[in-house]
Formats: sequence, C-alpha cells, structure tokens
Amino acid sequence: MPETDADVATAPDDDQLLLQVRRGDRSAREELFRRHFGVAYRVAHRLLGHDHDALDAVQDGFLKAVAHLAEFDRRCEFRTWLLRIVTNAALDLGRRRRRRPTLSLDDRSALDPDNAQPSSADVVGPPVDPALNLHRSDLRRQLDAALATLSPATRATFVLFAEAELSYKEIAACQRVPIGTVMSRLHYARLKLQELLKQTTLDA
Amino acid sequence: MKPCDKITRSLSAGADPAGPELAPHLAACERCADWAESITALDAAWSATRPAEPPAQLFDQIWSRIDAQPTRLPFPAGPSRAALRRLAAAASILVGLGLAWLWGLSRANPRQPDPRTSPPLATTPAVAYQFEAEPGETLFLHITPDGRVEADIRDPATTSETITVAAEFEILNFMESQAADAL
Ligand SMILES: [Zn+2]
Repeated sequence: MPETDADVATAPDDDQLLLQVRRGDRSAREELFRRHFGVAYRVAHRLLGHDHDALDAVQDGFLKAVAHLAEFDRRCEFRTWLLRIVTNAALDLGRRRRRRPTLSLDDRSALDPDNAQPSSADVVGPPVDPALNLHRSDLRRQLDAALATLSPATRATFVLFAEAELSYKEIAACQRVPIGTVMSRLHYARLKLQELLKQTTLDA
Repeated sequence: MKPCDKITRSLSAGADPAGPELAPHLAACERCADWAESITALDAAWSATRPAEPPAQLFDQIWSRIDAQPTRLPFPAGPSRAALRRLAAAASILVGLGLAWLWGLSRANPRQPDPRTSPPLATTPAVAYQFEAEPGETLFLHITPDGRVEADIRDPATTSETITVAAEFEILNFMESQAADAL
C-alpha cells in the first residue's frame, strides 16, 4: 500500500504497535490490523475471486490472528505472519464454498448500465473506460482460471509473492518451507500463468 | 542445474533482469530473454487486474465484530520446561503419525492432489502444515536422537535443501494447533 512521507515520519512501525498492544492498548491493536487490511483483502480476493468471500476470509483470518497474537514469535514480519493466516483462511473458505465466478462491484457497474450507482466497494479514483474495464475483467477471469489449476500451496505462494509483494525468502521463513521449494513453486506458477497468457494473446 | 534453468528460476523469484548478474546473459540468450519478457507480460496483466482497495468502512465493519470477541492476555509467559519435554514427545509422535498417514494416503489414493485438503489433516495439523509438500515433491522427515526434526522437501527441478526445525518450534507449533485449527 502506498505510504506518504508524512505517514512514514509519524506512524509507529508494527514492532512499536506490538509493544503498545502488549501493554493493553486496544487502539494500537486496531491500527496494527487496519494498516494491513487492504493487502489482506487483495490477497484473499485473488484466492477467492469474489468481494464478499474475500471479506469473509479476511474476517476469519483477522479473528484467528487476534486470538493468537500472543503466539506471534517474530520469526517473520508481523505483516507476513498475518497474511499467512489470511491466506489459510481464504483457502479453507475456498474449500468450503464452491468458487463463484469472479465479480466485483466495479465490474458489475461496468457490465450493467442499470447498475451504475457507486457502491461501498467501488474503486476509489477516476472513472474507468467501460471497454477497458471489460477487458480487465476478462483478463482477471483468465488469470483466476489459471490460478485455479495450481495446487493450493503453489497458488498461495504465488499470490503472496505477486499481490502482497513478499520476497521468496520471507515466504519461506514464514511458511517454514525450504527456499528452493518456494522458488520452484513460483517458477511453476509462472510457467502455468504465462503459458495461458501467451495462449490468450495468440487466440485474440 | 543448467545455467539457463538457474537464471529462469531466479527471474521467476523476482531477480532483476537489468541487474549486473543477469543482463549480460539475457542479452546473449534468446531463451532466457523470452522468459524475462513473458514475466513482464504476466506482471503487467497482474497489475492491470489488481483488486480494488477496499473502503475503510469495511474494515470498521469487520473490526467491530472482532473487537467484541473476548480476548486472552496478549503475551503470556512461556510453557515450563517439564511441559516442553512432554510436548516434545507428543510432537515426535505426531511426526510419526503424519508420516504414517502420508504413506497410507499415497497407498490408498495415489492421485490425491494435496494432503492439506484431506479430512485426516485435523488429526495431525502440526505436522501436516509444517511439512506441506506439493504433488511431485518428495518429503523426507528425520527425527534426530536429540529431538530435532529435519525436513527435506525435494522436487524434480531442484537440488535438495534441508531445513532443520528446532524442537522448541515443533512444540510451539503443536500448542498452536491444539489451541485452534492449524492457523
Ligand atoms: Zn539462458
């Protein structure tokens, strides 16, 4: 998530917030989770392809993380630890529910002229060209379909790398798998996704 | 591993194609240059389809539910040494069970795509999560006499790398999994 210089200068880092949480500061706890909400949501959305499922997964994950905050052992960054929990919550939710087609509220407003009312989950920013938006949702569906062919561990690894921009070393440290395994999973995920992308470009 | 395989793998894991180690090779090798190009294409497609940032009120909405939950002390004291020893034994037994289960699973259903999705996971969460392996990967677990667990996950594309997991970690992981479903 982009941070302004002013945020960086004034906001306490995660470690400082964790210290405050330890002293029983509830607002520090809220801030600790609030600052990672956006990326957690995007990660869950990549794994589940749906606004509401993504939000449910983030809520499940955050609930678990709050309940187990005492066990956070600082082997990796708090953010990485939290995203790992949210990722597992998303995979669990995905198993329990059949994957629904990718649809976000901004897609819906682009596809359906009757549904042009801005909603709570709309993109914040300038209006997007509907043709471009349609192309984007096609592309997203294709990427989702390719992601769905990967095993859960490979899918989660790639999403943490590409969406949360975690390094392969952080992922390995947090998931406790060898670095070589993470690199293999990233490579395999790229093989599949890039193959599909090439195919799509050739078909078009 | 051949040099080109090593290069494509490091590109896949985020190495900079313009960096001094890779740029000369990419300038001379069509295969690796193609791979770098398709990485750029995928990254562009990925960025173009990035999910929208959720509005802040969605956080408020879920946080009000989370905050209403009763909480435990944020940082409790660690377990006693005796408890650690007992749990170390339990963790070792769980490792044994996990192995037996994985073996049983591979005999019973060789096409099982992912051990984590199987119902028996609930009985061995600590081990199943810890040593998660992919189809096609081979998993070796070795328990040393001093209670350390060595995990070695190999896949056909990589040379083996061994990680050693401290017994203490196994214990904490075991406790964590007892407290809730594998996080
Ligand atoms: Zn090459």
